[in-house]
This record gives sequence, structure tokens and C-alpha cells, in this order.
Amino acid sequence: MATAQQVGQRLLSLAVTLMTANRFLTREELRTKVYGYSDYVQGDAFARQFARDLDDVKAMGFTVVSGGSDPSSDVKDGYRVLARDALLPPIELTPAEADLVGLASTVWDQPDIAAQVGRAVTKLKSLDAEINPSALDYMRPRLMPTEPAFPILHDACLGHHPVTFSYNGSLRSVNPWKLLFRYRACYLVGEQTNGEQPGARIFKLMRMESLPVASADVFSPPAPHTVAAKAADLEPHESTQRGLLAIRIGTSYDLRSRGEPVEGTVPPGYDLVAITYASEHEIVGRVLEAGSDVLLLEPADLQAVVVARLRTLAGEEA
Amino acid sequence: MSKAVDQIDRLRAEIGYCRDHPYVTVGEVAKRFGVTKKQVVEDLELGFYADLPSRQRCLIDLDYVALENEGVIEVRDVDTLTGPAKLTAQEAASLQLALTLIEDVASDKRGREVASLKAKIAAAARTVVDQVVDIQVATGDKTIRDSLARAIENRERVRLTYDSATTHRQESVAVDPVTMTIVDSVAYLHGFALDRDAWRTYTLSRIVLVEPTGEKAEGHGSPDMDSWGKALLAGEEVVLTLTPWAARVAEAYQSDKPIKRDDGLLEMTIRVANPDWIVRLIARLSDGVVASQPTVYMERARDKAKEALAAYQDIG
Repeated sequence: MATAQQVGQRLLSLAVTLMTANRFLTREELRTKVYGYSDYVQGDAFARQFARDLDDVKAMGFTVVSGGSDPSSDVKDGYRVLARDALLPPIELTPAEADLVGLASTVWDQPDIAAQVGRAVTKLKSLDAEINPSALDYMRPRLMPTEPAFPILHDACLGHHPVTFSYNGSLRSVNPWKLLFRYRACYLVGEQTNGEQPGARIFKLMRMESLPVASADVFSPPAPHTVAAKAADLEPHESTQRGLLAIRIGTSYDLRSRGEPVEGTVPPGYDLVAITYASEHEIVGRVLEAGSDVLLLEPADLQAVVVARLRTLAGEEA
Repeated sequence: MSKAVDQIDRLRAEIGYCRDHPYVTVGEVAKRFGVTKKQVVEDLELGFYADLPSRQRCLIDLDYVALENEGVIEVRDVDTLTGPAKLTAQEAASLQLALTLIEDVASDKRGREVASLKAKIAAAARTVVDQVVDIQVATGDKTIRDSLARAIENRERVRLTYDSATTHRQESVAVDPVTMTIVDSVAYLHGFALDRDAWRTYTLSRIVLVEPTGEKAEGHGSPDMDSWGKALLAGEEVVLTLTPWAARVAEAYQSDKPIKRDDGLLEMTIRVANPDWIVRLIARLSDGVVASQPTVYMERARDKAKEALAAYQDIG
């Protein structure tokens, strides 16, 4: 088993060899040139190690390209690293911006993604600006996605890799587009490519019945307006229906602020408030949770629904 | 990703810094990068001893005697690989999203600084960074958020008017505001409530008015954020037995996967910090809730329903 220092040396050796090569180098050529590969013989074990190392070289920010080691052949059997865009370009951070980088380093409370931010901040620490994580300690934004699927889908969305997972009892193949945080929940918007009705779909991460598995394939991402159009399904619909509420004086300001006070007959101690709503289900729920502080007066059919559900909850015959 | 990649990333950044700051000490570099002095030396040794192909025998030429004897770093010859790597797409996207969240609680002035920084981060990635996460934060009215951010920055006392989640009445309180927190998609203000003589937390979207008092905020120490964060995630465990539709409504609050029973009902565990909140949730779900454990919450929701039914009878 190689020590951490030996693994580091091997990766550095591989990166520099690929970067300084003046032509595409085959895996076998690299086996003979790179520090640490001399322990391997040609075969599956070396192929697996080489693939892992190549992934690590990419993770170090290098663009690895493949091409033919023999210019007269079409076979892409070699590798090189494009050196020109490998380094952090010069950036000047103002002290205020450096404070913001420090604060940003504390936002993610998800180990995989926090590690990515940590690596970015390490790179920015080479600049002159002082990066202090507690300089803006009066702001404490936190992102704590608890669903284990989140980091897998985050990487799959970034790399445009299709994923498969079990949802509502069936296996879904999905091209993942974007993750959405809405109302204390996290959703994936993407295109389902299997099943009887393929097309754009929204999946709640909490309801996924298996961890997503990403493939190495790459799909073409859709236009931003296609993603936005599907994501809009999660937005509240326009409020077009009208209702009349009796709201006990001094209570339920959140419902009160959605409407306008109007004149009319109400029980003593209540205000009459006209509201608009989009969803009957939502307004009934809001009235029910407020108990006797909010009475739904109109529409009458919705009042009947509220009273019937109150009777069930109270244990009375409907 | 291997630990070696982290070490190489750090080594390259450290060398970039040492190159621009000749004779910097190991201690200074360790402090800047948040690692031990031993780790800095190990990082530099990796670059110094790296057995590279032919032309370059090592990544850096280091005055190893000065390093060992005086703890001073002198990088004499830096290879093309050294200097920090560009940001990867994942790193840039994760950092950008953190900054977007900061923008949601920042004052207008600070918001402009965030926008400028985001542009620089995008340039540092040398590629178009896809924003693959979209967060809608319930931060309430922007003018209220901006007033609070300015009051905190300028250490000013304010009077808040807010819809109380406990009493469901509008209340007013003088507060020395200290911190704004966002947890996932909900924003909170932490401040010292003068009338209560205690630290209090307010959900930003419930604050309806912020008025300057003209007084300076006093020092009250710091709110215990760790306890608050734990309380947010902790609280009493309440188990609700729900019909399937009610379970779908309540799932945003669940702390564990629900247990599906043979009769088709689901048992969902919810952590509850405010007992009044769970009674309201049961009332909202009404006929979708079959039982609660402890039973007291179901009984209170039942009493609440009876009161409401009496009020409907009064209005005929």
C-alpha cells in the first residue's frame, strides 16, 4: 500500500508528465515514465489505478484531452493535459470581498460540498487578501441538505450525467437538470427518459426510494427557459378565487395581510376580511389550523368542507 | 477524491503564496492555510522530493537548510505547475451558491460586493459555471431585511413589529439585533429583546415593520447559536398516525422515514420545538390525522376544533 506522500508524488508526476508532453502519450508509455507506476505490470489492476489517477488529475483542475499517439492513425489511445488554462488567473479581491469568501466557506453543512468550497477557498488563500471566516459573523446562512441523494445529484447536474433511481415503486432514468429548494424541501427537475410517459418531471428528493446512480454518459442540457418552465410548476398558482373570512381582532396577521378589510355583518370581536386564494386545499388548511380565530364565511360550499372536517376531528358525527 | 489531491491543491496554493512573500515563515503559512506547521513542511517536502520526469527533478527548489533551521521558506525556482490551480466547475458552483445565499440576507451595499465577487469567481473558473441549485429563501420584505442588515452593521437598536408564531397576535418589541441566519430556505433574526431581557429569534418573514429607535445597541454578549441550532433540529419527538394524503403534506417536517402500516396508514415522527405548532398542524390536517403520541396534542386539536364548531354555530 502506497503512503499518502507516495500517492501525492505519483499524481504530481503524472500531471507534469502529461503537461510537458509534446504529443499524446499512451497508457503504456505513461506506465514507464511516471513515478510509482513501475510497481505495476500491464493489466487490469494498472488500468483501474490509471483511471482513478486520471480522475484525480482532472479534480486538480487540469483539462485532460485524449488523442492518437500515432498521427497517422484515428485511434485515440493517448492523453495530454492542456497547460494553458490550468492555473488560477490573477484575481484581486477587495478586503470586503475577502470577508465574503470567508463567510461563504461556512455556509455549506453538507460534507462533500463543503469540501469543494474548502478547496476553492484554499486556492484563493494564495492571494494577498486576508480571508477570515468570522469577519462577518452577523450573517450566518446555512445550507443543510440532509437527503443523501443531494451530493450525487449535484455532481450529476453539473456534469450532465444521467441518473437512475427508484421513485413511487418504479425505476426512473432521468437526465438531471437542476436542484430546487422550495418551502423546506429539495426537488430535482429533469427529463425522465424511460417509462410510458417520458418527459420533464419534478421529483422530491425525500421521496426517492433508492440512492441515485450516475452513469458516465453525458446528455445535452436543455435551454434555460425549458428548465425554468418546468420549475414554475412548483410556484403558487395565481390567486383568482374570492373568499370572505371573519378574523378575530388582533390575531392571524399572516392571513389578514393577504386580504382587505370590508364592511359587513360579523360576530362581535371579529373583523370581516375579503381574500383571494389559488388553492382550495391551501385556504381550507389555513382556516382549520387557526381554529376559532378565523371563520370561513364564503364560499358556502368551502365552509361546508371546513365544518365537516372540524366535526371529524372533534369526534362528532358528520 | 483522494486526500493527495487536497494536499497537492494546498501545496500549489502555498507555493504561490510563498513565491509572492519571500522569507515567509512556516508558522505564517500554517496560520493562513489553517493547517499545522508539520503539515506545511510535509506539503513542501512533497514538492521538493517529487520525482518528476527528466528535465524537472522536483517541483520546487527549496532552501531546505533555511526551512529546517530557521523555519523560513525560500522558494527559489518555481515550475510551471506551481501556483494555485483554477477553480473546478464544482468548486466555483458551490462557492457561487453560498454567495447567493449570503446575498439574501445582505444589505444593498453588501449585496453589490457579493455581485462583484461572484463575477470574479466565475472568471477564476475559466469556464461557464452552471448554477445547478436554485434556492428561494423566505426572507420577507426586502426593505425590512435591508433595515435589519444596516441596523446590525451600525450597531443600532430597532423596534420590531411581528406576527407572533406562538400567540398569533401582532407584537412589538425593542431589539438590539445581532445576527441574521438562514437555515436552508428560512431566514431568522437573532437579537436581544429589551422587554424580555433575553435573547430571542424571529422568523424574518413574520416581521412586518422595523423602526429605528435612534439609540445605539448595547453589548449583551453573544446569543448561544449552537444551542439554538440544536434546538431547531431537536425538540420533542411526536408520532402522528396519518392517512397517505396527510403524510404527503407533513413530510416536510418529518425527522425519519415514515413507517407504513398494514392498514395503509403511516406513522411519521416529527420533532417539535413549539407545542402550539404541532396542534396547529394536526388541526390543519384534521381528518388526515388518526392519532398522536403523546395523545395530548390530538386532544388539544380536538378541543380547538370544538371551539371552532361552536363559533360556526353562533354565526348560524
